[in-house]
Amino acid sequence: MAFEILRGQILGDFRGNRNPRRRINAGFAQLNSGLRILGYKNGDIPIDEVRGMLLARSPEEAIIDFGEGSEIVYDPLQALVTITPRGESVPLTPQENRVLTLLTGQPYEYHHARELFLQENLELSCFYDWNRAFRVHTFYMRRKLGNNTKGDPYVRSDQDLGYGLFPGTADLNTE
Amino acid sequence: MGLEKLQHSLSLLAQARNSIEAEQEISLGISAIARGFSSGAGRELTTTEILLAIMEPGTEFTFAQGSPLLVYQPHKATLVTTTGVTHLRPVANRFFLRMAYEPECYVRKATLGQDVLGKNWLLKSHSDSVKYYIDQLRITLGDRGRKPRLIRSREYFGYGLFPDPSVMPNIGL
Repeated sequence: MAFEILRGQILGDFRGNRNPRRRINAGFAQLNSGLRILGYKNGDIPIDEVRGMLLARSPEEAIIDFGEGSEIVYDPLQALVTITPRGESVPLTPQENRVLTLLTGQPYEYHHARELFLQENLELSCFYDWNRAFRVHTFYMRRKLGNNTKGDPYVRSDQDLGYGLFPGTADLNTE
Repeated sequence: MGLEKLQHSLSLLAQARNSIEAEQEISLGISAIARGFSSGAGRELTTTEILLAIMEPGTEFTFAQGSPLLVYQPHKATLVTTTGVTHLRPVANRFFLRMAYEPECYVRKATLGQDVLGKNWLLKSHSDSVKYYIDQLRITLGDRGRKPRLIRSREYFGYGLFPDPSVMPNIGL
């Protein structure tokens, strides 16, 4: 359905232009045969499915679910953390959201604040004392998120190892 | 960019069903369509153009009560507001359509640029071109003197359409 409409629209734009029309027609024929193998009748796909594919968020915008055993669902675009055991949604400030975005890259691991700053061109670095700024933002974020069902904080810090995000009750990833 | 997104999603679908043949056919087919389009039009087919093309004729977006926007007709590129009918220019129409699909949610500047202007929009145009188009759209909508604005922008999160003025996003509370 969707690709048939799209083909009609595109070909309409190239009326009298034989070369692109031929290529486009051949392309749609090949695409339809591929879709037929996937089980779509007449090689076409519903409009809603195509729309969903086109509007899908890019990986950095996607809602992050940390997998099995996780108690947190994080939506970076809305700056919202949903803590499932408590059924609570915690809104983050933009700076807290940035810090958490950095930590989500490798959960269950510790990262040095300096390492995080060097990896990403974090706008916090414009602060004169960025280390303190980072500490303060992380402190408030930890207070907001609270502890997991075992009683350990979701965002942990270690004097030697740095900061880490622990979305579930599992311990440090030592692999 | 639109065709690339479709190719990526359909390839993932084919991989999930273990069909290498289908993946190849889809990939070749979409490449041929993209080549044919660019040879005729001299540019790529963007995501919002595909969205407009596959939309059922006569589709309308109706907004919530209390909003200065009443109805948006993407095919006619018209917006019926409380003060009258506003016509949108083609690029502004595509920007508005992209935001109207996900109201009350921010869309990143890079995503908007790619979806409306094409994959290599940053190479072809200035990095502030999205801002420019949104500013033009705001002027057309009479949004500049309005608080809160219909089109809100937020550093890092991008731009979003908030038809209901009472809605406050969670960001930055």
